[in-house]
Amino acid sequence: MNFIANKTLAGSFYRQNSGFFLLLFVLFFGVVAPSEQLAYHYTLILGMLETPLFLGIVLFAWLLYGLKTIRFLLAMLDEPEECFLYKLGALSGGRLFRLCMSIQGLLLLPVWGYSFAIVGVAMFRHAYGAALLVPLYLAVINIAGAVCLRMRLLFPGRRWVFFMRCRRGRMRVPYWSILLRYLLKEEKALVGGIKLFSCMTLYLLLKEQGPDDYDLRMPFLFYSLSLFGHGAILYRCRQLENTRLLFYRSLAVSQAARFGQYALFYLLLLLPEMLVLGWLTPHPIRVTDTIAFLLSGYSVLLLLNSLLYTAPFTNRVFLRLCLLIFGILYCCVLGKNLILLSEIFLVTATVLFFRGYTRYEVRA
Amino acid sequence: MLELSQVQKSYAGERVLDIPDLQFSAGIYWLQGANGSGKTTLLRLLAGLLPFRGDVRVRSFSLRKTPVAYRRTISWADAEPLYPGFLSGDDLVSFYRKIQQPPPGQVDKLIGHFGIKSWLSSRAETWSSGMTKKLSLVLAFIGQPSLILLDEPLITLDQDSTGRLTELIIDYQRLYDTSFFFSSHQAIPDELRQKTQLLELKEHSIHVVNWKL
Repeated sequence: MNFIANKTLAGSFYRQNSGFFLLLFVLFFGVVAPSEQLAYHYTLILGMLETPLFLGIVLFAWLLYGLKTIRFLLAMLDEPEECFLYKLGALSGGRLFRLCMSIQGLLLLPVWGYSFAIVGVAMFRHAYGAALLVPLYLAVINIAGAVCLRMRLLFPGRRWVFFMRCRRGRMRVPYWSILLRYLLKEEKALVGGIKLFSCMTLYLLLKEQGPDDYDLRMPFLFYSLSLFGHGAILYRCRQLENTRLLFYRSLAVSQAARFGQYALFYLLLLLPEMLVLGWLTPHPIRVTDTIAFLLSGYSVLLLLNSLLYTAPFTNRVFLRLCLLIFGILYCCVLGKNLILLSEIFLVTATVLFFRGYTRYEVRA
Repeated sequence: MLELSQVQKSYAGERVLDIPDLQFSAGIYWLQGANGSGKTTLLRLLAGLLPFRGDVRVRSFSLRKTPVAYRRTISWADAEPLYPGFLSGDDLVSFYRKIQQPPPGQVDKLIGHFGIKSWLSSRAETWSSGMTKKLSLVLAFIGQPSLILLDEPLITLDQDSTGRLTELIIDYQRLYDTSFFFSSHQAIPDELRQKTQLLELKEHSIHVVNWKL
């Protein structure tokens, strides 16, 4: 039983993440000549032991890795072909916990391996605090993962059982939070990709702006490209609303309140861009330009949302519509009319929403 | 209780519903009709999910003129309900609770009545169709709607739950004067049949069948 569980879960983890491990291997062992490997890693470990910030970063990275392993295990148990693993829930409490610990330990094996090297060097350097802290920290991650796995095996489908029992029916679930959760849970790759592209291009292209060669056309071109990508996010959200959130249309919520929910949702969706732009303001980007960037992005999202209520567009037609808006937006940047256009977009979005929402024919 | 005024609904130019002025007093109505006769369309239209020509009123609240007040008086449960897989039953109950503002204790009573408490904290993606159906019925009964619209409420329900739903419909009708419009291709329990008025949807309109079942 242990062998099957380990092979199914740990084996799949290493198979699926082979690219990730290859990259790590190259980073850690491929950048230095074989003869210098020991000295290189010894220096790295010394750096960790002597610089608390460096050690903190390493421990944080391990935490992220630990979360990745836990998420993987829980996701695997949701797969139909792995449902036989729920049979493990019939094991006695101690045996099940030991098994979960060993599975989680196998997934953390690379980190455990490196931690032993750190402990060795720490002992050699008489840094007993670090020698104790590192394995203890990893043990906590290991136990936390095992507890999560055990809970899932014993209570399939339930998450945070005790917490959920306490809060039953009392925690507010606003509509925008459902849409946001959908993106974070089911469209991670799409949202992550678009946000990464958006924030990276904004940061890299804007930080180089100087007073003498201040020109926002190129950054805005990339920014509007990312806004174009946001169209895909909106389209997926509408598909969710047309199928699984249909009940919301029948509930006693005014159109203004519904519009308010979308307004808040898109504001939160633009939060990463807001943070990046806020960071770069007032130098190298001017305040008025930051406002123009954000207002245009926000108005485009609201406009696309309202346009989706004017007719049941196919994704191809909607793509063309997004391209058209993207073109208009870029022309306005060249003509320096961005704020005016954003205001027009905001008004249009509001009018279209109030006209279109009740007339919209839901088609799954 | 329910008034329909010149209700017309078409799909791609094809007339599906063409209902002249009709009024229904408070009661329980069983909507019958062949497949494709427009039962689901009618129920969704009454639930405010579909655009249409004409108007509908419940307790004098017009769907066209006072849409929020109208929606406060109605409640709807789909034939094959779907919810986002990442939401738990608790999330959905909280969501409805906030909007429907039920009297104290009502939600817990409904949850107990349908026996769904044990899995309410689990996510929708782990539920069977019967569990999803039960939760959709609980949600439809939250608050104090004057009219509850149930599209095929009996499909995927086990016998015990069918009995519990019947009890609830009769209780709500007796205690709160709540009216029901439901469609069902399945036979309904006898105690419900005795209190039900049969309606038939044919030739794009509603025809009152002139006898009590």
